[in-house]
Amino acid sequence: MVANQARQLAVDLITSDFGDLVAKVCKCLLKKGALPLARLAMETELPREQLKKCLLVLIQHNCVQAFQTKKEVGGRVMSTTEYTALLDDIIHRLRFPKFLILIRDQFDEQCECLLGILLSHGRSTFEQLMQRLFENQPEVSGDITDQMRTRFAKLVQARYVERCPASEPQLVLDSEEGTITKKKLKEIVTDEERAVMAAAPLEAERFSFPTYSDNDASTESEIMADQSILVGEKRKRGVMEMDDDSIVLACEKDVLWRANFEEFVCSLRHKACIANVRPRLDIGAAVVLEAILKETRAKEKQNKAEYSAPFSMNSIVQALLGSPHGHLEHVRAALNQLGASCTGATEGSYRISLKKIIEAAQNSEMESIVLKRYGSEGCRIFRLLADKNGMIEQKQIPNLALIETKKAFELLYKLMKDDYLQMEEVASAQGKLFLWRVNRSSLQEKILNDMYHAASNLCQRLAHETTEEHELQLLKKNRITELQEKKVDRIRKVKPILEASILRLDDSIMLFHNF
Amino acid sequence: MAPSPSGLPGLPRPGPRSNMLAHDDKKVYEMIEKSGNKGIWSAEMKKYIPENILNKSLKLLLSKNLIKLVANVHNPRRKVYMLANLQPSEEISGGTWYSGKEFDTELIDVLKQHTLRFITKMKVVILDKIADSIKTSEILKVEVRIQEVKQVVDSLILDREIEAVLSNGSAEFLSIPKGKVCYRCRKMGHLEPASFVSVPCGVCPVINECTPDGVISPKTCEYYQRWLDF
Ligand code: SF4
Repeated sequence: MVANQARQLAVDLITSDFGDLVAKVCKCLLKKGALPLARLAMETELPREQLKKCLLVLIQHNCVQAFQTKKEVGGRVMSTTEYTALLDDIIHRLRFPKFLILIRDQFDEQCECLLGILLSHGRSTFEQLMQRLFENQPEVSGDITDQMRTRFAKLVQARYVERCPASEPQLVLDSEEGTITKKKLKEIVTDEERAVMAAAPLEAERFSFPTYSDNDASTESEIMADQSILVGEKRKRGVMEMDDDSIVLACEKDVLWRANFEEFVCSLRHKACIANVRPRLDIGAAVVLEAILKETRAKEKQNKAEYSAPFSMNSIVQALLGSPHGHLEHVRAALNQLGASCTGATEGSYRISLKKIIEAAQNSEMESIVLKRYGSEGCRIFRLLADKNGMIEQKQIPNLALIETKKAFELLYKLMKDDYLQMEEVASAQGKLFLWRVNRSSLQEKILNDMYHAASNLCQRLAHETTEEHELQLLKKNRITELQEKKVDRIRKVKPILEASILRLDDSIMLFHNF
Repeated sequence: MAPSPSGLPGLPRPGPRSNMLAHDDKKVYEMIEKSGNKGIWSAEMKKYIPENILNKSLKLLLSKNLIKLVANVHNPRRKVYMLANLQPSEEISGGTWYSGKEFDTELIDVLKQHTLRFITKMKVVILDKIADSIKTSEILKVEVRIQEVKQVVDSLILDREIEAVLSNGSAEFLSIPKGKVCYRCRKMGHLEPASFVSVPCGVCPVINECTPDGVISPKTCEYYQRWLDF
């Protein structure tokens, strides 16, 4: 159910960025799953050439992944290329403004600029990036390019930028190098996930961007790459036997880069945790959590990790040296508030449940939705059942929530009609019992679906206003009527509201889907 | 408590009274008597006695002030009867929170506000102390029972105004024995309005009917029109 509205939102985003034709192709892939070119041509009724162009746009912008499958037909092995749309990655387009702000805050405006080019042009080599960056400048000094190279290396090192995945990986059911193993495949269900998995570069390669080293001091990313070779990636040896400068040159010319959405999501997740803790606990707890997440970032391996990576109390005190919240006593109290637990592995090593923080944030978001939609009494009933985390018999509810019986029952049925509560009828010796509860996972799914729907509606409205604006702008200046002028004025006021609402709503979508 | 009309003491004395009744009336009386302070629904009695006879009997018993019709707060439309000298059980009357058939929202609000003020003043406090403060405030005309105070406190918890915590016996909990449940105000009482419900679709009653090119669509939507009216 969620996928329906999410797909519509993805189509809206592609329409507004690349137009109707590309959106048509994308919509078809989202609806039908992975398809080979011939089927896609049939479904979309587009001429081959046009279809190919659309696919190229989608691949260039990391919205579609191609992959090859081999099938045996009449004793001959046939290989076909199929295309699959990457729903989550398409929806990330909604958050590009957030990604850019994040980079500006963490690095600087030039880094933001580099990322901006990667986001708006899709996959690019470093050389292409530089060309686009200095497009309108006749002469660019080597110094400036060097500075940009350093910045780019920083982005790669911080994992915000990664090497692009293979363009057409093969999906084969064996453990050959470069393909996915059977065991991994078992856990993966969709073509989309299989293709992404098969296309992903090896971890060490993914973030390696060798740079010219003036004084033979290797950059960290080079060291990382070197280490990985020791660990046994033999097939890269050939490349590494070239002299340093040619590696760098080859890398800048040939390697395609793109933004690594996973890392952005992870950073935004951390930010959301900190922002949630601040009002719920206090600023001290928020500062300590921020320090912990910064300290342990490099060790965090998994997306949506349930726990922070382990840390020691001492490392946090060190990290907060000089801060008013950094005394041992403060840190200890904050860890207590944050519910830090011992990892058990090594003594004095702690971890924080990020999942719990996210769940608390999700709960208060759901409550706030119920409060607005059903008022304080409706919200009280909802909280009663949510806190209970089990069933409550109908007759007890008015008393427990301290609400008049008739009103309480009305609210219960209203909440059930809108899928916020569930009720089960059970026969008992005293007659029928009506047992009520909150089904958290299905409710979250429902709310998420509605949020995608709302976001899609906002996007459509924004597109509608923009079209109207363009039409009005086409009119000759002197022939514009007063009414039309008013319209233009209104659109100018309305658009920023719609844009801001989309971004704010997306915070909630991320909270329920990506965190 | 309603005194029995005949001036007899509160306990029912079926013998002499029902003896004076005709057979059917007696049967109805006994059924009602057996239902005790929970009362009996007229539809229930119809299963055993034909409706016209039942109605006549009920009329008679009512006119003799032997039985009474009581308000059932859960099912206001049901006619529930019990002996005239009995006090309806809380299940029927709704207890302290009802005055007659009416739910006393005002009383509850006053009690909640009083309790919240008291907890704010005291920082951390146990249930007994809250009950004492309600007693001395004389907001309630009747005896305050601890379970009612607990109800008020629980409803403040559901409003996220206060929270229940266990005393650790030190610092702010110094005066409270370790391990005892006590109450304090929540740091974050009020919720930020969710972004979802600050756009029209978040509270829209027809969201399931709304499609990109349908009759109801974001391009022509009335709710948007009002929201973006400048
Ligand atoms: S666009 Fe209008 S009609 Fe459609 S869901 Fe939103 S508020 Fe409702």
